[in-house]
Amino acid sequence: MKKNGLFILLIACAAISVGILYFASTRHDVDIINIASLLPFDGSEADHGEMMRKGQILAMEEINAKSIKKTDSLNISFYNTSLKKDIALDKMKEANGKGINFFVEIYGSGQAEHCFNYAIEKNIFILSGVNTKPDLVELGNGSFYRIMPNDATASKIILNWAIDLSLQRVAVVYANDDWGKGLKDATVKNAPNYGIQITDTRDVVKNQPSFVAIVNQLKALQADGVFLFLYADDGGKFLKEAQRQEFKTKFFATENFSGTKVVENAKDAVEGIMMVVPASSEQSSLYENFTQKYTKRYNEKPTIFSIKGYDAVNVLYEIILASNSDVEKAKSLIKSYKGIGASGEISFDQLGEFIPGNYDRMVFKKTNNTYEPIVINK
Amino acid sequence: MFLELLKYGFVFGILLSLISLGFSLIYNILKIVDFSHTDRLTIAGYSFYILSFHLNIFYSILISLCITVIFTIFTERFVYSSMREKGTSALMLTSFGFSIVIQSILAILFTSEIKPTNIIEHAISNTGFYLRELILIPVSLLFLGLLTLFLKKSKTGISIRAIISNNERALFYKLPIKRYISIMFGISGLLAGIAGISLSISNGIFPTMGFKYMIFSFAACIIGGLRNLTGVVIISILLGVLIIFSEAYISSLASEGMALGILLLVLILKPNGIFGEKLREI
Amino acid sequence: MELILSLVTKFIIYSIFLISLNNLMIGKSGYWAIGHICFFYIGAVVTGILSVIYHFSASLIYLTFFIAPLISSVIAFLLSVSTSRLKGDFFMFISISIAILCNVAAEYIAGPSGFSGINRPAGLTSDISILSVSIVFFILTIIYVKNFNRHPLNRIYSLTRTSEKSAMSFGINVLRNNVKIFILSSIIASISGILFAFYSTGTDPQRFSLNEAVILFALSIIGGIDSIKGSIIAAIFYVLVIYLLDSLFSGVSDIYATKIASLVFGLILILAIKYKPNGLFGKRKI
Repeated sequence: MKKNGLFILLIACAAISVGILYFASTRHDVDIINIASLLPFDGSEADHGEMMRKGQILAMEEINAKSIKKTDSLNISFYNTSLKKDIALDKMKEANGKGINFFVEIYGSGQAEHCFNYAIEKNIFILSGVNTKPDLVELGNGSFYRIMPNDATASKIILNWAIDLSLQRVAVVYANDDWGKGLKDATVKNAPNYGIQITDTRDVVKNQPSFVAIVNQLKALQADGVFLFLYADDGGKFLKEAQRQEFKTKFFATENFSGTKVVENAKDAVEGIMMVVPASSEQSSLYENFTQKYTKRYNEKPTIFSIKGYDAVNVLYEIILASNSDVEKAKSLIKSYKGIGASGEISFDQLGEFIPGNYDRMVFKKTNNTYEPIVINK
Repeated sequence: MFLELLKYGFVFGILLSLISLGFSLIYNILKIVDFSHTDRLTIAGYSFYILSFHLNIFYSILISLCITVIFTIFTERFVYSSMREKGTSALMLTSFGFSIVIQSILAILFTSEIKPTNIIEHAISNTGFYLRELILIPVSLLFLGLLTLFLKKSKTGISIRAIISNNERALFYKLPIKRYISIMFGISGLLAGIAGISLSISNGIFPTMGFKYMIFSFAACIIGGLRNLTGVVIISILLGVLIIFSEAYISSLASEGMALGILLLVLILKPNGIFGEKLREI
Repeated sequence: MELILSLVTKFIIYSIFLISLNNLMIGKSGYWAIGHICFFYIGAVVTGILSVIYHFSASLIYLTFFIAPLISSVIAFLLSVSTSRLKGDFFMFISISIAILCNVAAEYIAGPSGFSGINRPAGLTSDISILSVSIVFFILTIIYVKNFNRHPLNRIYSLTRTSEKSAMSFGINVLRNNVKIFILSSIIASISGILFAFYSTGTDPQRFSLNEAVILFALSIIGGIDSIKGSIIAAIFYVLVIYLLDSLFSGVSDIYATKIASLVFGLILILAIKYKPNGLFGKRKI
């Protein structure tokens, strides 16, 4: 009987806490602009989530320091998705229940896609900085926008460079997740149009124990170049291993390699690595400004995730101000939006897809004891 | 290419054998699967990471090894020992809970980002090895030899073997079981510490850095036959080679599945492991 | 309101799974099936394969209620045959490695982020209808388990658990009983997986990792072996309490929320084992 009492007590506790969750759902200050950000703070990609959060917080603080009226100030509520689709949707429901219609991020293409039905139904506006799955904007049906080129576009940019260097046989190393796999698929699909033969594709799992085998096999292939669709940490480890095995070829990387993580991991092995980065980002005053502030605030250099998080908040804030927090108006406004962020030019086409600006080609070179990417545009 | 893969697979296997040796030592003495064993790699990695900013490499390795050993012994003394009478299942779950606690404390203190150490290393010309790896191979073989010698010849070692083979009889002879358990945990902590420092130099540190190795050392221990330490080492090295080969010829995703697939086969065909003596309990 | 609906549905689905794990698998056979989650996953992934890869129509997708339990019972059969040779930790290893292998296989089939866009069966298109179907399954499972506990077979299982040798000496076919209970629990687990796939219209590898498997296992131990109340409390903890802890702490400090939540969970686990080795509602020690 004692057990039954305990059981009922526990059930009652659960019911009461659910009730609190439901009734305490409008605790936000309604006068200011509320947006939400769904990021993974635990699980395998917790580090990326934390980096994005840092960038977003910096943008929020900047906006709040500038805004004079109280109604112009911004509050970002962060929700942890644990990189689980159903939890991402639950958190979106929770945020929407508190009256938030603008979302600055849903980390992960799979997670975002999972939320689309609800987002369309509830007229929610999502602006993402990282999701690159090709048909995501189409699937989002007006509720999803992004400031990151989709995989098809990104693969063309990198293939163009390979063609200019007249490479013919290229191998691909990709991170085995939504982004890496999508980019690899797009590259394999587009390569024949450029007359480039993809000789091999190699997957890298998260926290890969060693890159010995991959480097060894790629070395045996004698490819003209290698595309590295990897995150900064794994990329750095790959380069270190390539240096150890004296694997010398042309390595191409995406903007993931910007920031100091690659250099920290690969040390001097990073010399000569080629990287495509959105134009006017690395040297523009905006980027410089952002990097300085970020370094001052967090005592470390920003990564691509923090830059994209920072830009997404700024773009969304401008759109919310212009549309006066009206989602329908925001949806029409974003198509004509034009601006420059820390990550380069930002504009959208009529369907709402992000149009990437020009890209800079950069090569890592040694400058005063550290390695930094230097623009080599022709 | 083939020979090179073999070479690097051997090095990876040596690293693996350090971890799985500690794993099987703990299994033997307490009869539990210690889910928190690979967290000792993480502890070693983090202490080395912090120390390497302030001290030179030699001292930071030495001190972080000491920290790991002390941490391991303390884990046993303050967390595991009070649970020992509650049975192996309780102990196993405790180790899992403890592992969660350690990982979340590390994540709170240092965030979950991957942090590379500031050690710059270059391959020694004509060998393709790092100095770290060249040191690791003889050190771990030496440790294995010393360990076998210790267990076979020394008085303490013989007593420990007595505990391993029959706990109750050891109690009867009034052997100081607690002390011997601490010794075993210390040794396994030392081995894990060596592996952890090597890993932190090559892969950077993060709270869950040991997780992958838990699965691999799991597999190596069982396939090798838990009681036979030499068997565990041999299988670890073979498994290391196999993982590298399956990464090279199939895919990285497959390497984990490969190790576990073989584990399954061995468990079904030869439940006591390849080198194991008969210890099936019915 | 939608949030509560979603949490309750997940709670019901996980209750079904935990009852199959706790009351049938561990409770009756006594085997430490940490990898039991693989049957849950098989249910979800098979539904995904039928719906996304083979484009089964909304009425045809009902077939998954036959196909997925069939596949998982085949695997459960193979697993239960291995119990004739392995016991204790060794079985746990087999169970864990099957769970991880399922994960790797699913990643090959469904891609790194799993299936999305699984279509729901005809007549079950709304969230509420899925919830009501889940409740029906939930009640049926509970009734079945309660009946099972009263059945003479239960005595046989409890004898087998304490000593396989003495059970054999009474002429009990231990292997056949193991096969029976393994297949039974795997079928229930895979049905809960199917419901989960239909509810969330997708599969999610993060939901089926080894970490989650051990957490679910540990929770059912905390709840108490072979007790339905324990399983329900474990499901409440897994679905609601972890979510609530996360929400609660995210008001204080969003980045540390889950870390604090998992720290609390780890401490609860250790303390529960120390001070309540029977679990909250269990009659047996772990």
